Amino acid sequence: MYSNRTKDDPSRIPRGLLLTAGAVVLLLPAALYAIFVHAPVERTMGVAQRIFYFHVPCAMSMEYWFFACGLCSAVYLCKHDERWDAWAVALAEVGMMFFACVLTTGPLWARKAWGVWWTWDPRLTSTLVVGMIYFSYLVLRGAGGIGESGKRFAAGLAIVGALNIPIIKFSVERWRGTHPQVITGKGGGIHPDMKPALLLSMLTIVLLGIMLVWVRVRAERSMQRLDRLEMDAVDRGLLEEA
Amino acid sequence: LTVLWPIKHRGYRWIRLAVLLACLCIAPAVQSAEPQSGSEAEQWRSVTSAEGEDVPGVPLLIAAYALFGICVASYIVRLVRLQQRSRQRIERLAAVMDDERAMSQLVEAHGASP
Repeated sequence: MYSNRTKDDPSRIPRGLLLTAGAVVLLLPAALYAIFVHAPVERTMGVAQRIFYFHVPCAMSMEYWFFACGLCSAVYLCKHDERWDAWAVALAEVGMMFFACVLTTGPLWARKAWGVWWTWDPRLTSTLVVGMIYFSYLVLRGAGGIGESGKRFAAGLAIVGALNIPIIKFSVERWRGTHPQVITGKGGGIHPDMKPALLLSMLTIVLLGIMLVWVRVRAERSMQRLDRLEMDAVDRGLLEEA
Repeated sequence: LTVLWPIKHRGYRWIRLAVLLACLCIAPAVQSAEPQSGSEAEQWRSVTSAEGEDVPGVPLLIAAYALFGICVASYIVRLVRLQQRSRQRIERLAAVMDDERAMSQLVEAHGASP
């Protein structure tokens, strides 16, 4: 059974996935060292400023994965290929995980910076709206037996969510929110000693996201194959319909 | 004051008035200087700097990194559960295929449909 392992064999772990996982394992302690030991304490925010080093990469990853989910959903609607649907589901789930990280670490930053846990700032509000759209997408996909039309409807929802992502990006500049713009074009920039920590944490978070998406896509593809096999078995009367 | 100090001299009227005003001014200050039995929130307290008003950052920092870890760990647990569910489905299908193979061998051996 295992002698003829092909590229599509689900039991075969790709070398790229192993390398990515290894890089994450090595980079995570390095990033934590850079954040907690190498990076200096910020003058106004104090130690709570170190939330920034994971909060910002998580927010960026969330935007990338959600946008990629919208693109894959668009391709799925055009080509009707299940492979793109699997990618869309995986990207939405990993994006949602990063959204949860952003939504939990952000208020802790806000409590220190603004004195409140939450404020209806344009960036916070637009991020919440996008997160709720993809949450709806995942709830719809999680509902049992949605069929082909349900998958298409969910794909449309993912595209709507992706169209909202530029609003998150430009909301601070357009509507003058309270959200800081330290590392964007109009921001004041960060201290040179803070840059290694931010770059390392960005690299770690992006690689972690790639690894999780990769694993999730493989799981989704396996489930799609199993669905087809089970349907075939039900048609032939070998299996009872669940 | 006329009762307490019954001197009806014209020159003392201003002295009485000055004593009355002094009592009115000193009384609140003396009252505020006395220790009160209420809770600390009802008292005025002096601080040397603005540190007492600051939000402590360390618990927020610990909570942020802990929540990040919980989010990632929860998703990894979800992935493991998905793999386990897939494995169960594969085993179920494998059992069905073994049954089918046994059935076809039986059919071949007896040369008739079951």
